[in-house]
Amino acid sequence: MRTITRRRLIGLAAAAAAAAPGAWLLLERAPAQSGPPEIRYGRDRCDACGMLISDPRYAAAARRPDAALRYDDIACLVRGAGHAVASGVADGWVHDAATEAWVEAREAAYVRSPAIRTPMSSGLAAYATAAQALAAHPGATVFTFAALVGAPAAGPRG
Amino acid sequence: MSPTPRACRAATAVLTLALLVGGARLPLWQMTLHAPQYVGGLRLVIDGRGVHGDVDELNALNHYIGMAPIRMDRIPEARLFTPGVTAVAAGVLVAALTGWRFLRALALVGLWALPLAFLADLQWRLYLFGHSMDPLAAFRLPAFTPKVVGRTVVMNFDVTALPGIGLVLMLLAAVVFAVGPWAARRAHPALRRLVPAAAVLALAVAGSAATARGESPPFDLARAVAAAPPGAVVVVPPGVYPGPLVLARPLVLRGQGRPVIDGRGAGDVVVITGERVTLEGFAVRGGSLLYSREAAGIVVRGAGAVVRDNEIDDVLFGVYLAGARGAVVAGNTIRTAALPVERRGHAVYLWHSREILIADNRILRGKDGIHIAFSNETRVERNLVTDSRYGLHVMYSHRNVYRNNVFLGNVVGAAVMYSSDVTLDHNVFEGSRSVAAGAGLIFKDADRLLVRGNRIARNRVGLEFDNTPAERGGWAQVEENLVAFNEVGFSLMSTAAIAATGNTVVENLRPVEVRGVLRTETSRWQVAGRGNYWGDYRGFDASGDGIGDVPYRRADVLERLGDRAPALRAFLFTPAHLALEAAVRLAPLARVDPVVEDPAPLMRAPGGAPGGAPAPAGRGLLVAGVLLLAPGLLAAARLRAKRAP
Ligand SMILES: [Zn+2]
Repeated sequence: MRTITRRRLIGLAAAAAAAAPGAWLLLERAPAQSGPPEIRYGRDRCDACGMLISDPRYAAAARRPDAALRYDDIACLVRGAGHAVASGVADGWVHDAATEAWVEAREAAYVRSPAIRTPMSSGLAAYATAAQALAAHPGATVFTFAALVGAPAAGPRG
Repeated sequence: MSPTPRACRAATAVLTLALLVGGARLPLWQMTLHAPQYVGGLRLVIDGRGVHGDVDELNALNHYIGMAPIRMDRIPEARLFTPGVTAVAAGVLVAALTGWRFLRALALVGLWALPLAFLADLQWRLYLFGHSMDPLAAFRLPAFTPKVVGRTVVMNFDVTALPGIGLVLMLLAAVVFAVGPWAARRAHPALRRLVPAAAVLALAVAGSAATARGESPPFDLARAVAAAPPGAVVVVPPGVYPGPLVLARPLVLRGQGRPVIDGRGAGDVVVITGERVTLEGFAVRGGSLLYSREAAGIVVRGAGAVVRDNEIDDVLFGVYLAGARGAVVAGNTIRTAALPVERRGHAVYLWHSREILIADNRILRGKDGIHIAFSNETRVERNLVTDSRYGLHVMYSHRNVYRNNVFLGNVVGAAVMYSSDVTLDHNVFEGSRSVAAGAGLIFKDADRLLVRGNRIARNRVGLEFDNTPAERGGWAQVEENLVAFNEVGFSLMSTAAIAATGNTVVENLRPVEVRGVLRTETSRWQVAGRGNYWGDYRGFDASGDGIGDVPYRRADVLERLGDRAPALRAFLFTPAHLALEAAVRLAPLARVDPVVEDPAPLMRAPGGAPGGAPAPAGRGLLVAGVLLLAPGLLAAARLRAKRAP
């Protein structure tokens, strides 16, 4: 019992030392935001797989009330926040692979092909509309975000 | 008997022309730069066709100190040289044939003006080079003027410039033309008879010089490739050849004097589709930089290709092996275009290829230096990779060996993901210091992994393991590495379960951190009773077997707290944190689970202490330690006494 009290004591001491500037730091970072978070390419890491995010065409993002999340690959968005985004608990965004404009993840059209070389090799690309997806990949099957979340593809495992 | 004026004029003109035309094709000016980092110095030669020599290295240096690059397209007046020589030569010839005095005077002025204007212009250019520093360069140099002839010393750069043999011959041509007829009339008859012979000789020398170092020869590269029988060796003379060049049959294409293949922004520059194609000794540049086109300097699709000793520059991807087998990529210098990292391509990119050897390349910029995806049975040896995102990036690639490479100053030295049967040995991973993401080595879902004998130093994180090994029965052995001067030596996600032995772990701000829920039983810090050398181990070895008698343990108070309250992580590494940690280590009052426990710590760094692990400072330190510890021990004893009534 005694040792636990000691541990608490030291914890409290550290917490007290931390509290004031820590709270200030948290408040500084707190301003509520909406829209996709900024991604610093080549410096920010994917919140699902830890890779550096370096290809805007396939980079994705999500925002929960408590956190902004950044992903290098649409598959990582699906894995990391797919259900939350699909159910509306979180907002999600993907890039239109051709224009690199942000598109709401729930509204985008998705294609999957091994010829699309994405950072995590999911082969998933997003477009603003199904017509644009088909223009870029004639004959491809176009998925909705809900369909992606319903059948999350495992990464290839050669 | 005295020669006719006409004969004198003719002999003089022939000699003049030989000297002029021959000289214009030989080196006009040469410069040697000596500096400690360039063994043997760097050389630059200018002749009638342009600038040759170590232009790339000099431009890299220029970039570093903020000087403009040396590029012929930025020196427009250079294009006047050949027409100027032609015009003056024509003037000399016509003046000799007709005897027009006015034309002769004009030609004489031209003969003198050509070499002198060349030197004056060069001096002007050198002045501009020394006075147009980019204020944003990595290194700032005061403005200076390199001398066109003579020696210039700036900092540790020692530059010597001299006129070339060509310029001397051109000046000689002017002298001969000025005094030739006069001298021919007055010279001793015996000497006079020699003049035609000298003229013929000079002509022959100039002619051979001209053929040996001729201008862009009328060599049609595409036609030569198309006409070559399978397996032929085609030697390509210097020059600039337009890409794209497609090599569809067995062939050895060998550049002599580093001919340039310039894609002129069209797409891929060289595409190897045939089997057993060798491409060596070229400069490859100017592919499309449009990211969506994913174009490369050299694309290899065929089997058994050899890409050797090329300089690949100003391209999106450097060498791209797509479905290639049994290829060798060796001794190339690769620098992708200077674009932001998200717009760059990989310097060497393997995609669904196998049995590839990547060796002895110098990779000076890429998105990833060497990116290997879905490519097995591949060896990567003795390469140097700098200024890239991941120096080496391995995805879904198995049974590969990475050996004796040097990764310097990349965001991450190497990232190995979703790959098994991976051997990484005797590499250097240094200077990955990015605050956000810097790491020497990152492993994620790697299996049957051997990391041995590497030097992992001066990174933000030395080695990071996540879900490694990934599979049941998998293993990840980390042995005999030097892990030094990193902020964090080992960073283990709680999903990692490595076995570490014989490593030298010194001078890291924190030797080990564990992230996520702590499960000490997963990683082992000894194998077969042999642990690691820890620079901050303060145990002793009474038995003298080289293994410390008390385990090496390290707890991390704030780190554990930080896992429960992530906001506290902001205080990692602050003096308060380190002081707290030191206090806990000295007086283990708070029982915190250790993040690392090595039951058999080594007393000496194995392998002759590669990091110069500091020897224990001797008894003085021990005494001081005991003295410092005493109050803590006393306090602890008193507490215990109180607790046990
Ligand atoms: Zn990811």
